[in-house]
Amino acid sequence: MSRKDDDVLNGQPISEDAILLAQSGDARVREDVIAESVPWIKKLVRKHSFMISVDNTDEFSIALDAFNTAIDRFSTEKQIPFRTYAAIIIRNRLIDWNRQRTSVRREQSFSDMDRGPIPYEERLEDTRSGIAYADIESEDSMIEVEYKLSLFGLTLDGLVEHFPKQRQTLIFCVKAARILSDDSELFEKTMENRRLPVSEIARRMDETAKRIDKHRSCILLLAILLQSDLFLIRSYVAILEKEANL
Amino acid sequence: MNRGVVLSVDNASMVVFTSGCRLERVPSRAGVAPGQEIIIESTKTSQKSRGTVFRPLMAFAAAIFAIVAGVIISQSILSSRTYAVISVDVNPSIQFSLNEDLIVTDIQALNADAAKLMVKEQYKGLAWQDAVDRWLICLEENGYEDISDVLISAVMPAKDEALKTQLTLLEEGAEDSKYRMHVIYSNDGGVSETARKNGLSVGMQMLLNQSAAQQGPWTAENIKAVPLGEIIRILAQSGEMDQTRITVSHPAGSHTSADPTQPSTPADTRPTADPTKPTKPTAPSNSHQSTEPTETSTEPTETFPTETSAEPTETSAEPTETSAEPTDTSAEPTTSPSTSFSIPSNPHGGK
Repeated sequence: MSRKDDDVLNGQPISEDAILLAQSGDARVREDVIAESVPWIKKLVRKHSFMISVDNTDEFSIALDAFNTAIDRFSTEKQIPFRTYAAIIIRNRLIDWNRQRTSVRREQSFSDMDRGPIPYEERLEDTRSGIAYADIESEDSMIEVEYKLSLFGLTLDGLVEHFPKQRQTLIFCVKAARILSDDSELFEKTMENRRLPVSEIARRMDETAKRIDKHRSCILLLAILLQSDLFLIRSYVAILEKEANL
Repeated sequence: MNRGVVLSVDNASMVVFTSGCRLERVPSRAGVAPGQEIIIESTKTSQKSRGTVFRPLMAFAAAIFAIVAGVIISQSILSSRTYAVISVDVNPSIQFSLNEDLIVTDIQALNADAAKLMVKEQYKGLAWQDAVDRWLICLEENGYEDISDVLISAVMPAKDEALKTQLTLLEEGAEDSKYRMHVIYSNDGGVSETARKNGLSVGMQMLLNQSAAQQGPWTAENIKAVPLGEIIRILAQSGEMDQTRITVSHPAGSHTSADPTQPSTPADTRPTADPTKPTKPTAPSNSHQSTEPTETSTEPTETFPTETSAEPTETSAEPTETSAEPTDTSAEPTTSPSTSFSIPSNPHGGK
């Protein structure tokens, strides 16, 4: 999604200032931003719900609500284009809605259906949900990870298939990712160039560039995760490093 | 129990970064958002929990399947198990295997001519009488028009009555036909085994056994070359067609005892009539003359072939004792003629 397509409002690009104004309480700017984004929001809803006409549907309402949330939560610090950010928020909400609806159909009795969606706090307290820890802020961190990966043409779905299964390979990738993430300058350069500095990492690890390149996507994901605010994931990696005496 | 942080969520699955630093796809759950730490069921646990539900069901289904399959297979085996064997010796000769319903389950050509004419599929599933008819018609249609003697031989369990009766009726019914039907049978299952070893039909094996009992000149090799009618006249009928049925089941002193060639014991009184047990030569149960085997064994040649008819009482009295010491004239008379060979009586008093 290019910036040119994303940030256009009334023929003019959506400035971060407009979003910041809306966040600060300017209702008119907020309404303008939402009104001008309706066709784009409908397009997103059609894409996720496989419906032709989305007017007056629950999905469209949820998408509008998610867009409004995106305006509130958007931060310029992340350097993520607003529409990319909003698109991920809308997608997550639509998926969540869809899963809830399926779950209600499958598990709840008719009397339960009157209750409507279960509040988020209630869901977290429910031991059956299997949720060990929840951090609302971490959704933003995940959006950032997803965006950064997209800069390299990578997706999480695609990475699952190519992620190392063997422990030794995994340790090797962690070691390389740690070199990249610990060097902020090198990491920034990588993000800017959208290319992994294979030879530099190979040199620092005293490994062949071929081996680094083979696990390029895994090293990138781990480096991005280590650079993120996802402290749980960082703790997982730290435990592995400790176990491997890295 | 494993933990992991949800990286992305789809309608059906989630991508999770596990505590072991692996990226895994797990089934989606309601109420889970990206960034949350969740507890992941390990694959083994998942399989176990699935197994607790499915295993009893699978076991039950497998048990039902096994029972049904067992019943079907046992029915199939029982229905296809060979209950009796009938050979039709015309030269070309053929042999039918029958199930308990006396339906043809298998056919065996006993010589090359028969093999040329026989199409198994045309006989399988027929009642044995129909199969015999079809075979005779087939022979006629293929140039065997001058057939006169037909030897129908059967090996069946001792307890059988149905086949015995049908054989008798067949012979009676054939009186007006152009064929001379000769029917013989045995309750000794060993006959068919010996016949198979010798490459003979069960009928020819019975005749061979009788030949051995009478110290006859025929062996498994040369009996094939002898015209069927001649063998029957000499061995089974003592030269008279009307005496085809040498009734061994009649008590001693009946008209059958007058037949000099009658070698055997009444089938229904033999202790070894069970076809599953090849029998040993035994003295006839109704024969009070059988107590001195050495007397007959010293004069075996006097009884064969034509002289026997001249001295009926001497030879018929002790047939089994001669077979107790089979002479080298028989190739493989492994079963005693007295037990393996019997010419059916006519229980209905046909003649």
